[in-house]
Amino acid sequence: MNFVNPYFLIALGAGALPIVIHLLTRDRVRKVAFSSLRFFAQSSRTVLRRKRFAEMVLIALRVLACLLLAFIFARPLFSTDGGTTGPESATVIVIDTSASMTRSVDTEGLQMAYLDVIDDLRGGAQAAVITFDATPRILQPLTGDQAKLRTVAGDIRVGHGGTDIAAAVEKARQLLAASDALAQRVVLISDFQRTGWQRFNGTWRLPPGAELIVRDVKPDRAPDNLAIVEAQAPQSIILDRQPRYITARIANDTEQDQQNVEVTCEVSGEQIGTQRVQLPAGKTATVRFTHVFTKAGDNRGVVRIAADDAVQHDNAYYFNARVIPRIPIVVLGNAAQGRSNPVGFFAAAALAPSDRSPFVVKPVIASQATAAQIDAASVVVVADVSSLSADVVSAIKRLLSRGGGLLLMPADRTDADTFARTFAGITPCKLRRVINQPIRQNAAGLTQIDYTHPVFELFLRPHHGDFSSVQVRRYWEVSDSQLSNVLARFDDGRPAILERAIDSGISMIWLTPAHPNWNNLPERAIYLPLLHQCIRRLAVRTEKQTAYLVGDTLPLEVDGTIVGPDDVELASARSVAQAPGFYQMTGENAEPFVFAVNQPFEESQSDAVDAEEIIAALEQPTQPGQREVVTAGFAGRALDDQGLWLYVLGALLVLLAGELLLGNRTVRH
Amino acid sequence: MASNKYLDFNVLARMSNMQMLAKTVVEGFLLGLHRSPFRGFSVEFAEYRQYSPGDDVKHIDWKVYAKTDRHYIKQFEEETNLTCQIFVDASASMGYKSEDQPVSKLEYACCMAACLSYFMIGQRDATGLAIFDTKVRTMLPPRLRQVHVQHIMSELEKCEPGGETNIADPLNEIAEGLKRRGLIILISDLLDDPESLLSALQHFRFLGHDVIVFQVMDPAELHFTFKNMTEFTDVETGEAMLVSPEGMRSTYMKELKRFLTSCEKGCAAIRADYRLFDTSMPLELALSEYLHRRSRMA
Repeated sequence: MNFVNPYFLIALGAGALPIVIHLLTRDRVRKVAFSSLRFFAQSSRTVLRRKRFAEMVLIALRVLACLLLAFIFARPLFSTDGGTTGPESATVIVIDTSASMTRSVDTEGLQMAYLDVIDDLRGGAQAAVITFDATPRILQPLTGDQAKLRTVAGDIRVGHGGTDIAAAVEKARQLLAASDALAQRVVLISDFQRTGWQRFNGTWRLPPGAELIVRDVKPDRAPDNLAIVEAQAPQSIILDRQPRYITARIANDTEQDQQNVEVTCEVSGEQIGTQRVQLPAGKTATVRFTHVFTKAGDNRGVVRIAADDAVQHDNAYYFNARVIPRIPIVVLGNAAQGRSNPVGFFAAAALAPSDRSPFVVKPVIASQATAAQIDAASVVVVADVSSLSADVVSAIKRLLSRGGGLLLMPADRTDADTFARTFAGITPCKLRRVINQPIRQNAAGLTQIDYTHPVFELFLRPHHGDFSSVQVRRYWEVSDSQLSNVLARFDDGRPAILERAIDSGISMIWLTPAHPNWNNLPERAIYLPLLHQCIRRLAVRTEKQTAYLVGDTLPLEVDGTIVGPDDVELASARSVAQAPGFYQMTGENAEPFVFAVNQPFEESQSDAVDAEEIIAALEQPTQPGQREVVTAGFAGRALDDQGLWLYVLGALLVLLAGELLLGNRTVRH
Repeated sequence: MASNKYLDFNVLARMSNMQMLAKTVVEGFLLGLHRSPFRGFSVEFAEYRQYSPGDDVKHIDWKVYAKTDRHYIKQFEEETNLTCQIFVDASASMGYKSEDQPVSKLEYACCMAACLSYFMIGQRDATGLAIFDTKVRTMLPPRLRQVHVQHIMSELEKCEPGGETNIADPLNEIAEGLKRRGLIILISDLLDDPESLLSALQHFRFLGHDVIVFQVMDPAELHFTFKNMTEFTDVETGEAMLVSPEGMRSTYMKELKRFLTSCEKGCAAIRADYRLFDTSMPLELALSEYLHRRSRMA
């Protein structure tokens, strides 16, 4: 139970007033020599006993009335969680430890700002501590232990993560929701970087009556800083010997022009380029490095600004261009490549137009195919083949089970029944018949393309592929395709491309293969990227994400360990990147891997949001004067919820009426 | 006599204008203004009669014998032959006096007795006085002489409240000694057992006495005006009791009323006059009212 005006509880002492008055004014017993006691001897004791009992009841009523009066003025509040008594106030201190804070305050200054807030806490107040960058972390749950709160200060350090003010305050809101304190408030210590506020969606506010107090640690003038505010480098590339671009945008957040700012790029410890850029005050410039990655595996790279400014962590951008081998593909045809096997020919030609293709294509005649060839492949393309040996089919099934892909392209030489028998269980559908579009009629086209599918999402943007130029003369009508996903349809609504998940792999079928007699796909520019997208979709996925941000959890494999840039091993239970740099994962069963971790680019931006804007967005609208009431510790929210004092007042009135009634019926002397 | 404590001359002046008549005719005598139908040897000459044996020779008029040589007895007209015995209760309860009253019940009773005795002797009625509590403390037989008044006054002046109340025994004791029928006046608070009291009074009535009962009470006793918590001590028994007067008043008044009613009805039953006085009433008014009422009854 809490009290809105606990000082009124002092008035509980007035409960002794009726007793004191009774003692002071109690009857002074007179002694009178009387002529005879014969007229009251019988009932005197009864009357006296009754009188004394009535007096005791009256005193009790009056004491109770005084207590209730003090009780009412104290405005009691009962918590709804079983009647536990809550603290006077609950304060959640939310501290920004994002990378942008380094431009405003160092760790010691931030701890001092926190201790200032602790010093302002009154006795009986509870406080919790949340530090946040992109992710809020509860450093200390609500406690009234001042010593514990002061100890926590040593754990507050400015970090390198991003900023999400809204997420942190929402976490504070959740802490306050679990508290039954009368006065609730959130103290936000931050530099109020604008990018840290942009994730607030406006769907929630602090509880009614809760106050948001802001402590802006941002200095009046931000220190001069050069920073990489945007960068891009390849993460996972196929060993195709194609040149890759590494780009970075450099910002000059100073009031002076910066001339000949040196920007270097290193890959695998070797400097691959140096550029000098001119940076006007407040402007940005982009640099681009080109590099051909020839080494398979991890390729550590750093783009660095040669600047001696206040904030060093945003002067470097770390990346790991992980080079993976080219995708092996087996194209099964009914004959050797050539005009007798147009489907296989056009498929192989599109997949390996040169030696720089990301795919390694191996054309195999279906009747001569072996299981070993299939096992070595990542994707099998069946180009107009009806039947395969059982070993090959089994190998294809194994391929599907390990995440590989099967692309079926039935054409003129495919028999529907044989096809159904051969690929039973691994085909998305059964073939029924070939539909020929009459010459007099217009050719069919592709419609209802699923641009949300990974195969077609590349073509969604304008000028990234035009499927309206595809003209289809012949295509298969299919059956039993209910379990398959239709990626595109012909004009008449029949499926054109189907895919179906088989074990861990994917089986896909083109119902009109690239064949001059069937369509004009071989002539269209969109054919090659479409086929490449399909093969990438079907291939065994070996790419891994190498780029992470500070605060992200790095994927730690079983029995693996991760060593950070400061050569400190991360705890296996919490492999969170704490600082920018390279993180090396090793282990007996784990594949060696390097994670490149950078601090978020937006942390280098100096734009700040007005703190009042945050207050207006998060605090509940208050009536004039309500804010002061809440600040003084009156829990208007709980008070509105509970009209307890009205009931107590009613009880007091009943008590006074009873006292009046009994007092009138009770003789004074 | 003017120095007598209980003789209020204003009271006596008012009483002189009143006629007191005996309620009942005892021995054919009237009280107050009526002359006695009996002739005797009193101060006022009535007539002569011839001597007959047995008459006292001292009443022979020797001058007439010398003239007539016959023996004549000189007869005087007697004003009254009423004898009155006043009983004053001097028990401890009669000594009670409330704070706002000038006199106690006993003092009031003595004053009343003094007035009555002086008045009656002035009326040529023989008046006696008995003061008692549990027993007879003072006994003055009825006398007609003026000097007897002085004796009565002296005894009343010396009267102090004594022990417990026991009205019946002294009355019965005295009743046996009274040879002539007369008037019995009892002045008491009657705080005794009503049955024994009425039995004693009935004794007087049985002997042919006319009985008048003056019950004297203090206003505090009649109205129970106490307010604060009070420890009452019975002056006779010494028993103490803590009482809340406000809570007790209704019960007290009910019991008192029952007691007074029983006294009044008991007196009426034995054909005794009963009159309640409280000590706040002026004495002369009380006597005048009584005498007036007595005269009307006569």
